[in-house]
Amino acid sequence: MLFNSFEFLVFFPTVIILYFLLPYRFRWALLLLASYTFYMFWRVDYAIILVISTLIDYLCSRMMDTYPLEQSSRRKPWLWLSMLSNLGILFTFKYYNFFNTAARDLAQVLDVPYAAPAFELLLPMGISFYTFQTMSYSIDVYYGHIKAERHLGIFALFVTFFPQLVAGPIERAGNLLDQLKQKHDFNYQRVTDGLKLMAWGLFKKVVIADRLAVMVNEVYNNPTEYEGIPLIIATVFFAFQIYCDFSGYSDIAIGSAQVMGFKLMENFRRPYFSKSIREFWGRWHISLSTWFRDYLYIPLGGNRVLKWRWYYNIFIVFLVSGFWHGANWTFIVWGALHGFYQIFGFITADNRNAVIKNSDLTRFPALYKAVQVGTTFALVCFAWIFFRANSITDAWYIITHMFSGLTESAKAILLNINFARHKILYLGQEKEVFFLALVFIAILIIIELAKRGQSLRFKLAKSPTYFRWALTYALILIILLFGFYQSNEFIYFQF
Amino acid sequence: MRIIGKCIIFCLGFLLIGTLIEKYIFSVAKKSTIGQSGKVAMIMNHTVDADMAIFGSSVALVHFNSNILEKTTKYSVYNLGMDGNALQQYAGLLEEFNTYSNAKVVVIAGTNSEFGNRNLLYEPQYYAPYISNSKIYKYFSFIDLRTSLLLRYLPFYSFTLFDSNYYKEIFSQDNLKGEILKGYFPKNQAWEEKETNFIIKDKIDSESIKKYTDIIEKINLKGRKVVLVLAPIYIKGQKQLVNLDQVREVYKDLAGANNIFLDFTKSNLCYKKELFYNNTHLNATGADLFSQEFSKKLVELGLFN
Repeated sequence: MLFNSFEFLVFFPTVIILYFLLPYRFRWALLLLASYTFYMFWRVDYAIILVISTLIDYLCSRMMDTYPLEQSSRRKPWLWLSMLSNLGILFTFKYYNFFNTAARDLAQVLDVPYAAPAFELLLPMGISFYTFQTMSYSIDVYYGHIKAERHLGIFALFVTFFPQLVAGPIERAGNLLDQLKQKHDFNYQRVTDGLKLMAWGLFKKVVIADRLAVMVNEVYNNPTEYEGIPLIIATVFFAFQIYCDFSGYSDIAIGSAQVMGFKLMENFRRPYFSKSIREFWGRWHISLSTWFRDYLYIPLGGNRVLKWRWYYNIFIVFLVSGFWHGANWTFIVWGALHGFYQIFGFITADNRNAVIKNSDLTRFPALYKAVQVGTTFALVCFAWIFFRANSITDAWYIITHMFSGLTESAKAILLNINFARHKILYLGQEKEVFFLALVFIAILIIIELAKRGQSLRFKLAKSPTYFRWALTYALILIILLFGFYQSNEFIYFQF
Repeated sequence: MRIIGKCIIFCLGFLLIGTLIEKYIFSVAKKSTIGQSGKVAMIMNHTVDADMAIFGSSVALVHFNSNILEKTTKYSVYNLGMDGNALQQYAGLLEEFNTYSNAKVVVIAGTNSEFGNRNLLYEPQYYAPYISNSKIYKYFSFIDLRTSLLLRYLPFYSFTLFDSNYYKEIFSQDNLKGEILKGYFPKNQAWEEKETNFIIKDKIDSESIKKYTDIIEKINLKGRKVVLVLAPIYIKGQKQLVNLDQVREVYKDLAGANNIFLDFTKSNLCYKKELFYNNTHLNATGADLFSQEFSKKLVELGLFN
């Protein structure tokens, strides 16, 4: 079920009403049923994977808990079973064909016979999210950070909790499991705050992301038809599209959980205002970044190792992060590029600081900050080219052609030669679609800026009721009137 | 109780504002005289009529030059073709037109895919102000019951269908002047699509044939003749269509003895690629030549004596 669908418009209020009407002890059952219903709207048969994953992890964690922490040798096989089953499911559905194709290509080069079959398996929605969530649970139980959950129903709900099932935030058992057992009473302020957050998320998704998607798809699906300005515009637009799409989903997830009284972790903290790539990763997809930090980077040794090993650890984490996003070389290059940014940043930190000091840029803090934010955004956009391009060849074409013919295309736009504005500025869309996209991006930036320091919610809470209601009405009407409703899935559903 | 009261007031407030906006948009759309929204509005307001009315999808819209047809036949002509709409979708409009019109001839133009089964409404926003009309709703619900129900009963669902083209069209100043080309929409477009050679087998659905039969009967009952037109298809494109002969046969059967079937897939126009912008659509030059050929045939048939 999509958050931006009519089905969800019926499903969510029904679940909420039943949730608050039901006695506390039955609520987990309602939410579990609702979560499976939510998932099965997409495909019924794939719910079996959720059941298998839940049962294996439940069994493994309970078995681990039967032995004291000191007997790690007895606990370990169960951790391995959990890891292998989760990664096995992930590998089978998501990575098998990628490795199979790579192996076939290699065999062809080496002139060696190769006969492994290819499978046409549909990728289960949100598989990377729920497998990572359950893996973190098993690891936490193994290390004794948490006790294994005894209630199978509550554990099943932890795995499938519908607001964050298909695209996160990837929750930790330490945060969510306990909340699933607590009683949450109806709280007007909390419910309305949750609903407002959902509306804001929907605005980002259907008004901004889906609008930009039309233009971005036009260019990125036919990149060789363009050069210069349209490639730059499409890339910048994609940066906003993916941010609004994914953070929009997270806002709806967090908001809908908040309505019921659950507090999910923050997933985005105004990432495009980051002053460095390192800071960017502290603000972008926080639930995944912290997952990799806790379950990969630190076990690899983190920064408490030799310098070269530290760089290696960083690179590995970003490479795996890229691969997590998809079984495609484009994602791997995207991850590697971010790893390279980080390492290059650390290596050149002293030299860069010296240059900045000599240039007196620090005397103008606002300008200095703008340069830092701008540079970071440009680097992030450059990496997004690989993330969005359909192939490495396309990405390479875009990179090598995005700065060619700039003067000619600027002149053509100004003089509108052969409808140049339509083709290379509006990216094949009506000019209203393009300019409205700019207006809504501006609104987004203004609101993100207003969120600095104090929460916007607190600021608005001080304003009179009529003003708050007017804003809410305006937001809902903009979503209805200016939204793009063509059953566009959220980008991160594919991961 | 205070909270419930607050929620009710909030919802009522939104309902009121939303309804006012919807009413305003619909009132503007109902006054429209240009484009798709104009055609729908004028038919539903009973303000468009002609001796010869042309219905159909884009093959009607971009092929029949009303002014050329008027010149040759000396009768008034209006092109009521709707882009992307098969008869299954615009049948409600045609039925409504049939209730008030004084037309002598109704032309229904189609192409090879005319009798396929549709399960998606194409640009339903143009019909949104009239979805409660039983004729429009009946045919809409045959195609896509879910969307039809939502459009009819869910408040403000229509908002989610409106796009910039729709707003531009209904709020255009040109609505004051009306259509100079009388519904005709020439395409000054060169052939850009790549030629393909894959085989196409269009489905012929008995339900859509039945709808055709019913509507033709209703038109005939009013004493009007129906001219069924199989529009020109580029000759290489015709070779890709494995059941074009079957489509022709269906058209012949539908026309029967009382109506006329004109097959333009055998016209000389079909051999000239420069007159098409894709396999099934003529450009403006091709449309002018086609309109001349079509009107000559009508004159030969003595339809306007």
